[in-house]
Amino acid sequence: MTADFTFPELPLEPVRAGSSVLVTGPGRAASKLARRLSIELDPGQNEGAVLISTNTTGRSLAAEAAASYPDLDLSRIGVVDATGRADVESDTAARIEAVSGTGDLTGMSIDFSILSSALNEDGIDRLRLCVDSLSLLLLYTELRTVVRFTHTLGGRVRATDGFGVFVLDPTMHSPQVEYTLKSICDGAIEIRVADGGYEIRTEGLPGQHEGWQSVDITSA
Amino acid sequence: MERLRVLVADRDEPTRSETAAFVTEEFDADVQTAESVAAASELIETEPPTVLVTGYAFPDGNGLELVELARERNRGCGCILYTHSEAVDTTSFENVIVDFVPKEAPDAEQTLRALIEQTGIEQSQAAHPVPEREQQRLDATEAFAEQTQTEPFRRISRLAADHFGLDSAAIVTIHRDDVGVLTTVGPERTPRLREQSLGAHTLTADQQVVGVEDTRTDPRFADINAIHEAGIVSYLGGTIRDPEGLAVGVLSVYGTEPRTFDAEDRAYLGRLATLAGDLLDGGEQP
Repeated sequence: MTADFTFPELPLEPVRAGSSVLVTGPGRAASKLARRLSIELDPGQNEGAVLISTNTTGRSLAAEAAASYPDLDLSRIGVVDATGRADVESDTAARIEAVSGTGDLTGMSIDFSILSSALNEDGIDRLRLCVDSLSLLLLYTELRTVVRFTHTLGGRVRATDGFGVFVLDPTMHSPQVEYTLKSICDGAIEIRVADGGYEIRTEGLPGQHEGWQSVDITSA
Repeated sequence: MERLRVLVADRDEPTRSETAAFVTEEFDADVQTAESVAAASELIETEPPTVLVTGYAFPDGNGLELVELARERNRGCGCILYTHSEAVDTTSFENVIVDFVPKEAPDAEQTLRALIEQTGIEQSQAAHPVPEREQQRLDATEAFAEQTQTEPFRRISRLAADHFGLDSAAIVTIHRDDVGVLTTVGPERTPRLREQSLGAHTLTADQQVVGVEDTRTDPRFADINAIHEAGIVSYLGGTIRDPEGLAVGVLSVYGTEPRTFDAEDRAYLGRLATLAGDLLDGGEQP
């Protein structure tokens, strides 16, 4: 049986392999948390990560990851640059693919598969996926298409015993949109500002702490 | 469970046969093959597959065209692009969404098998929410839809329509890709594709009863023409559960004007939906 995914630096208990979570919260906070969930790899499990980024170019994302995590082996990271700025000239070990723009969900699903396959070929056993963010995709395409996209990537995560993170800023959408996307994932993690810092709480993930927990997202 | 229908399309003969043989060996499925977009299109039109496994480049088109056609004919069709990592041009196909398996990957067949299972059986490419225990729910729904004693359910629909002063109510069944109507009173308004269905969202809600004040402004339904063409503006739906707790149907009332539904409205429809579920357990008839 595949080992659970762990988050030793976060107030989260292990999560079953094959699960996807919706991370909700205001703007940058949810993105930072999602990045921590996906980039802080478990050295004991030979992990890698693929990030689909709609707001930060692949090159910038790789540079930020290198700065935040000096020990991170960037060859374990793949980025699908969905900003539409095609910044794939790379001086990094991270693998970067670009799609034509934020509306190209087909390209994103294909490039995610290409990067996953390439990382697996490099000997990496399992992957974390991060899509940041669904909110931006919803500016370019209708909800049903985003539902299919999220389902498809979540299905891939399930089929390969990976871990998926999807980011949504609920302040940009109606509660019905948030609810619909939450119902596609196995659980949710909500982040909020509290007393000058941040707190998170989980929903639908078995074995987690009850209620709000303080969290440090400054390293991401 | 419905038998899987898998269409393998690839211009290359050995690849096509090998892939078809692999699928036949791994799944209890009807497998067909096609060597061109034209041949595959004909098969899709005749009998839409549950899963399409297709190459990308064909002499007469490309695999994304087939994905579009397959989804047009069967909205829930799982679509997998199974090809070498050649340049795939997604221009004009930005919203089709596919799984992609590079054929040269060492674990390509293993991934293909997992994705056929995910897309064909678990509906992992659906454009609508899917409830838990879906396969069991689908089997129970088939049984519910096939029953002949529909009069008590028609009476429940009538009670709902009369109570809310609306001309249209129905008990609908949500199947893998489409929607059935067990009983209806008044004009028939139910959209018949699951991804366009209000009931599909009702099934996955936390509450038994879901209300929509105005479908024209609700982001889940605003862009679904089938709902607007049917004249559905407001909606109240209550999930009907069988004795096992599986959501086998939805009692739905439709309004042609915007309308709010208060807690009492929801409680009443919930009671009727529960009553419909109790009938499946041999309960009293209304």
